[in-house]
Amino acid sequence: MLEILSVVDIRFILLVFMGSFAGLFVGAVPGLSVSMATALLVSITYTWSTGDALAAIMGVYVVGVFSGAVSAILINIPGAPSSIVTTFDGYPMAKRGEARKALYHTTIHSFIGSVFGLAALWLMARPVSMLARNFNSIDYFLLALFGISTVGSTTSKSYTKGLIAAGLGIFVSLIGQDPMVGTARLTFGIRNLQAGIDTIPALVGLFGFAEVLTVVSEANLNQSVAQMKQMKLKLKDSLKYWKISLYSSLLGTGIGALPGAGGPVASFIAYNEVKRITKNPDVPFGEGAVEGVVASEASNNACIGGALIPMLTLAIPGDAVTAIMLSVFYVHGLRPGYRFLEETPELFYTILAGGFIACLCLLILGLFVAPKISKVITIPKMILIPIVAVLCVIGAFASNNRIFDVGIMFVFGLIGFIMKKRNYPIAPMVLGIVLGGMMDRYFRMAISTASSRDNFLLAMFGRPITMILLLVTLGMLFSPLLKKAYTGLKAKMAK
Amino acid sequence: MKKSKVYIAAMAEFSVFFCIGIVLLIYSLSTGGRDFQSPYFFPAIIGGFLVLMSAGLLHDALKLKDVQERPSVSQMNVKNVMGVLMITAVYYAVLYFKPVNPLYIRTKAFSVHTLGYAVSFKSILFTIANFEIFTIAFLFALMYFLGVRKWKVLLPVSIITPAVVSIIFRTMLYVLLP
Repeated sequence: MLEILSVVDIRFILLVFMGSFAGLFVGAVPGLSVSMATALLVSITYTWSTGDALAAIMGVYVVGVFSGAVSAILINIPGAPSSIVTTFDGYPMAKRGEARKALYHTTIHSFIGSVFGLAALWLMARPVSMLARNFNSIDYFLLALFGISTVGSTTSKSYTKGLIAAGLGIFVSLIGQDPMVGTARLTFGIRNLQAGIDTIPALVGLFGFAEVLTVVSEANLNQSVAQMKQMKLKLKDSLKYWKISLYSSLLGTGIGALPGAGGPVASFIAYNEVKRITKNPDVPFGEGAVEGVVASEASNNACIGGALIPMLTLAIPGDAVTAIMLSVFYVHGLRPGYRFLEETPELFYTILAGGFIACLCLLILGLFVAPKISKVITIPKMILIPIVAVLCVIGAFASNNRIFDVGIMFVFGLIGFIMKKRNYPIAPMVLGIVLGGMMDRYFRMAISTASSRDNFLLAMFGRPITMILLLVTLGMLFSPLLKKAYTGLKAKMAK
Repeated sequence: MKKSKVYIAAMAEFSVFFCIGIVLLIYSLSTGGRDFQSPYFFPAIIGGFLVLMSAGLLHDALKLKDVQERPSVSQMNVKNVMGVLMITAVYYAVLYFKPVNPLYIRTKAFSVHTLGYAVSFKSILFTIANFEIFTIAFLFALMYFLGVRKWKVLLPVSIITPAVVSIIFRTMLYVLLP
């Protein structure tokens, strides 16, 4: 505890609060996502110290995930993908005139979920690091492959499309200087590509400019906001859902910790689980059940701590935002992995302190500011979108001060837009871009080590950890085929 | 969406990814990708993977029993997208080629000789350059294109946004602007 408190001072608290305040608006306005804000923030905080950058980013991350629920409740449009499930019961509550009540429960249980997830990060990071000490090159390659295939299967209806997106992401990451030999590859004769495609402009394009194009491509830009009536709300009424809240937080943290699966998956699973175990809700699920809102919000916020576990200890991000955070580490010359906690414990405590302070900001902002921002979330999109486009240009330029990167951002924005329209998920592509270089390096290192041994296959996959990882990864990669075989077998047995 | 249209769309997607995959595979193999220590070894694998997955895409489309309703291109606002892309392309082109900005010299002189008040204020005016001027024009054009017609909104938003961005990024955060 003392270690966490040692990094906290007034400046630190102010930075987290600034991030949280920005996160509240960014998360609540549909069209502005937490991933987009984090990607922009990475380029802006480029010149800051790592601690300051992490403080601001943790604020945006924690409060941004929470505030996606504000627009989900008030206008039935989730501010972030992880709040899609909140619309199921949050909006019906608002239509009944209970918008303030829904927001109150959301705030309390997002707070519980966030604290739960961060506590899990605090407790679990060290044991996972100890385990990761035994990993070698091929294990890291398999873990990255597992993460990418999980995202592919959970973020899209079509598994093939998810894998194609991941493959394209890896392809993009391979452009530029080869990490082992140092020669330029796949640059197609373009001199500016010799340094590779920078992650930040690509991410700003995929999340920011693609969203700009998506919003303008939708004909319907009108939305109606639910009225906010004054209500008497008691903490006791909200805390009576503590069992559901803790159960959803546990699910959220676990799912978040799986490389690849993020908030949207966690909230779907938690919602279905809570629906299954709640026999007699006061109001049926889907018509404004408080239990539904609690399950969704506790689980998606608990995901934050969970997703940071593999990111910090294995350098494998748990979701899109942690993938961007991983690039913050690389930008500042840091290497997350099993040595991270030993070598830079102060940064681990900075993340924890930032997270816990952001939770307090969430509570304050959620209770006092969120009910008043209904006007902000309905800023006409025709005014908001041009401003976002300008911010994307600045974000793309700021990381390397190259106008070429602005072009890269536009190209990736267009690619992201087409992918969205054709139902290709963005998250696997992002993971591919961030992890591709590392996969290439570890894969070649593993083969080169194993080829010098007598038995190639045994040297590659002979260790128990590697065998388990290989089985799990192959299982994940071929999950659609296995599922099909299983249902076929079940049908045969039934006959 | 008709089933035939789904097939055509799937064929188009298959062709795109198949071409990317096969070009990557052949190029990588011919540049030394057969040797596992070559920088082109992993790209060759990714090329092969994309070829395989594009075939999977075609297989998925052929096996599709129920054609799901999904928004076709005609339903989306193509005019808006094309317009935004064109305005953005012009904005990028002027930022890239940086034509001489007549306002730059005048603003600079104006700030140094006439308005030498606070250092920060002076520095903002001093550094007013292509980015701010073109951003005002870009915001104005884009908002007008998207349907904002009120001058009370158009002018203040397109002027205040670059000003605020300039103060925050250039002066407070020391971030360079295009």
